Amino acid sequence: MRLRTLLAFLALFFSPQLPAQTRASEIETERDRKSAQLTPESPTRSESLFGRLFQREKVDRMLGRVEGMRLAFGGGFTGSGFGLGADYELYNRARTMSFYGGVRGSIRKYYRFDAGLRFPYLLGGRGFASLDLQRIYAPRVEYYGPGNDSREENRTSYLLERNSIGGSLGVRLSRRLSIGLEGGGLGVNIGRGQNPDFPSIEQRFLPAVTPAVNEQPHHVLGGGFLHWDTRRNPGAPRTGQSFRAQYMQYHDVKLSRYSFRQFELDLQQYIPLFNERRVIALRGYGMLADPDHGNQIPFFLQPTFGGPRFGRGFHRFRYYDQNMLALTAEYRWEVASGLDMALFWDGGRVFHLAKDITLKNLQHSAGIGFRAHTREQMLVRIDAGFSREGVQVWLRFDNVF
Amino acid sequence: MAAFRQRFLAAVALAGALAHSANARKFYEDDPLERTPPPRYVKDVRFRPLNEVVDAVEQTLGRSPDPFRKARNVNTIDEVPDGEWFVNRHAVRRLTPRQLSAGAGLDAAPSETGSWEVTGWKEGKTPGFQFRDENGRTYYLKLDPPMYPELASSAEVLGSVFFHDMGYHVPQNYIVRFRPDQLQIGKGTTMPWGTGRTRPLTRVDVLTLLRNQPRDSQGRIRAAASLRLDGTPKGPFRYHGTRQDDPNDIVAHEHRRELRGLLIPASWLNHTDVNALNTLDMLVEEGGRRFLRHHLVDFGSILGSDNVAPKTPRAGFENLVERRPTLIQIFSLGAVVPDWARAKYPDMPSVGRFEADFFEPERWSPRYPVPAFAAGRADDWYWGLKLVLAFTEQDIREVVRRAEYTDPAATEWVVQTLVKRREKLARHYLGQVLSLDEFAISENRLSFRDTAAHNGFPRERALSYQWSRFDNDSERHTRVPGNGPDVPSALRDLPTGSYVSVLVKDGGGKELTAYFRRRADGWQWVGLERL
Repeated sequence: MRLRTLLAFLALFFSPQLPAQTRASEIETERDRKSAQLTPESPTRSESLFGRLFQREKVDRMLGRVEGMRLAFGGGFTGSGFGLGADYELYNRARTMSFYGGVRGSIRKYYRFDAGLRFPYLLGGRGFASLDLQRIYAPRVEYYGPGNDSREENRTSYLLERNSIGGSLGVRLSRRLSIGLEGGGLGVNIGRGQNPDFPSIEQRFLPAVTPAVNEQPHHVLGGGFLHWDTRRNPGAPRTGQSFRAQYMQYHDVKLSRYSFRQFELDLQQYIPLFNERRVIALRGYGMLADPDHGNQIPFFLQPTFGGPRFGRGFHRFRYYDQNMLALTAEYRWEVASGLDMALFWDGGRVFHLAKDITLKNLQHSAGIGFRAHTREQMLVRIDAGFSREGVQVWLRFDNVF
Repeated sequence: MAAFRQRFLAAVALAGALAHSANARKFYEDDPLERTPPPRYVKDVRFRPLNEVVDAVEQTLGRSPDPFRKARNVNTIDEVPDGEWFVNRHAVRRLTPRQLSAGAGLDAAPSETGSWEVTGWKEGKTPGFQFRDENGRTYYLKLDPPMYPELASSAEVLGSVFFHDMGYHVPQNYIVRFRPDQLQIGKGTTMPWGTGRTRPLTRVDVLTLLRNQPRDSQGRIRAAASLRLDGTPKGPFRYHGTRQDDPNDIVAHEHRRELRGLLIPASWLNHTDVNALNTLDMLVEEGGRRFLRHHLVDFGSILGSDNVAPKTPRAGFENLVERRPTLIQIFSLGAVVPDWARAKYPDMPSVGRFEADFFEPERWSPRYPVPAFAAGRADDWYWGLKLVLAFTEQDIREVVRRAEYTDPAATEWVVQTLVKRREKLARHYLGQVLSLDEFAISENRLSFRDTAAHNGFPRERALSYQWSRFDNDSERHTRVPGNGPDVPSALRDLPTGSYVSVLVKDGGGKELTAYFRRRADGWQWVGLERL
């Protein structure tokens, strides 16, 4: 083939050259030359290599845009360390029901299993429902003792094995407002912490200060929620608001000593500036609990302050107690297409009795973060939080809020 | 051995080139060519796909082409001959108002009353489907984002009409309204299902896709329908290089005037998604010839639309990856607000983010670099500007009617924004060359059209003229006395076949040379060198 091409090339140039008489004939000569060198179109080496890597379907799958199996990053539990897994999602034809399942494992031997059914489009789009099963195995969850003044040097770890089944049923009263009911069952096993650098929880904390550290209640729970949501892209919002209130009753069906009510309020407001290239994001979060008479709230169901969501300058699960109040303010700015940065302040505290709610004695932390995102969702964020207890750096594959 | 072979081939090529150039003349009898010769018969061309990530990475990291070469496919009067890439339309041959609004055609709109047979399905970020109407024509249906009715469909239609009227090959796009019960599922139509599999498409799938779409009072959904192009698709064309299997593709695409000059219409219409992915080569057979025709397709990302949502305010101001602005944003901690972020946009979902006040022609850029734009020069941009200037406000209004905006204010906003952007383009690009065209010699006096003045942007010019006799074989100019627009007496009685040139200069250092050939019936304008 090469020889033939070369001969054609030589013949073309060494043939007696008549001056072109017209522009058209000049073009035809060029075409002759090209015709002698035709080869089938084939992708360049980089197109072949990267084309396989970045097939549209693969990219869409990575971003969760298509159904089926996809890679999942993260161990599925705060503190699990680097983790990987696989998620699977499949819709029915009408996309009124989906099945999902996921398995994840991490380098710290955390495991998580999820499965469930979702019904996002009931009653002609007015209703939605879900049924979820979950098992979490987290062998080295941190615990520092109860209260807003717990000490960092009292750090311990415990094993959390948590099995849950839950369901929800909701109605969209309008495009922005939805209400619903939730319920389920929860079984938790607490065991010896497996972090070799810190003592196990039972070595340092007694049941008197750490409820249910030595026994395993089983709960049946039920409640309801109300959600007002005007955010345009809830996965990576730049404008709008989300106000969510939830009430849950936890009934201890095994020991009858750990029944309580819990009220959760999550207020998020996004104030766009400069065509949404700057966003002031504000969040107020509260979780208030009220144990039944003579009952306590198991420490592992208590809210916590500290970690990648609340109090990013503190260790994860740094502060436990029956109630928690958290405030966050972020100034987010776009630095490039698909990349934002944020300066943030987190304040909050835990407290024992709901009536003691106050903005005094907040734990403060502040920091800076990078967020890579698409138009619809957060892909990855790196937040560095600073507090009086040092610096914490968080790599997460979710949005802070 | 390999090095010897390379040197040998280089020597052969050089010898050939020299032999060829020894025979070359500046002008041929058929200059200026108005149409490229009929295309060669194309025997076998493969479909060549293009990956969007690869294209974005290659163009972002790739080396820019040499920007100082003249476009290689222009004729001797610096215009693009009609051909398989471009056909001169409104800027050269004025279209009537009806032709203007028709774009690539108005006679093949899908029947809105009969049934539509769904014959294909598209998943992903911008889902849609392919259908056949009762006349047997095939279309691609593109939906609006539910939160922004009319946004993408208007862009899709306006893009095809404007680019067609300029001269590019585009599909016929229509605004359509249909009821879901018009849709029938074609036999054997499948859709992606799970991991790499397909399954039969059902009516439920179609209704699911449509369930969030807004309906009008008659229960109809509005969308854009794009008539399937004639021929067989062979993949997108690149904005650089040539196809290896097409004998007609002899000019590197980055050196094609219509691709270099496309920068200007693209910036006018805010077509930030102008890249190889939104092009399509079709293998067509016409008049016994089989050849590739090169199309621009997919205009859902022009004006204020980004297909699935309004454009980001960044669009048109910065590429996807820009080092300096990114570093400024990082190290200023967001204190430095880019000027484009302060732009004011109308609160009109059908318009999205489209405005003129912050539009800066010299700064406008597509989503990622386009090699042909990087190779462009002032003469290419001037050519592109003429395509835009051909549209008067009345013309623009005529075309924008095709968007069928429900809100008259949206129509007015788009029209006025296009008028303002056109003015800004004119003010910026007209000054970069000596913007004179349509040269002629009549009664021994040079005449031309001042493009700036003709379009309402008059400039003070003190023009000077330098006449020469021109030897077409040696390309030598022999100057003759005379510095006005009148042909000097020494040149008036030259024999037929003789050439003269006139160097025209303005006071600002811009100049051009026009060439004329003596014919029995007078002077023929045959050449123009602008830079």
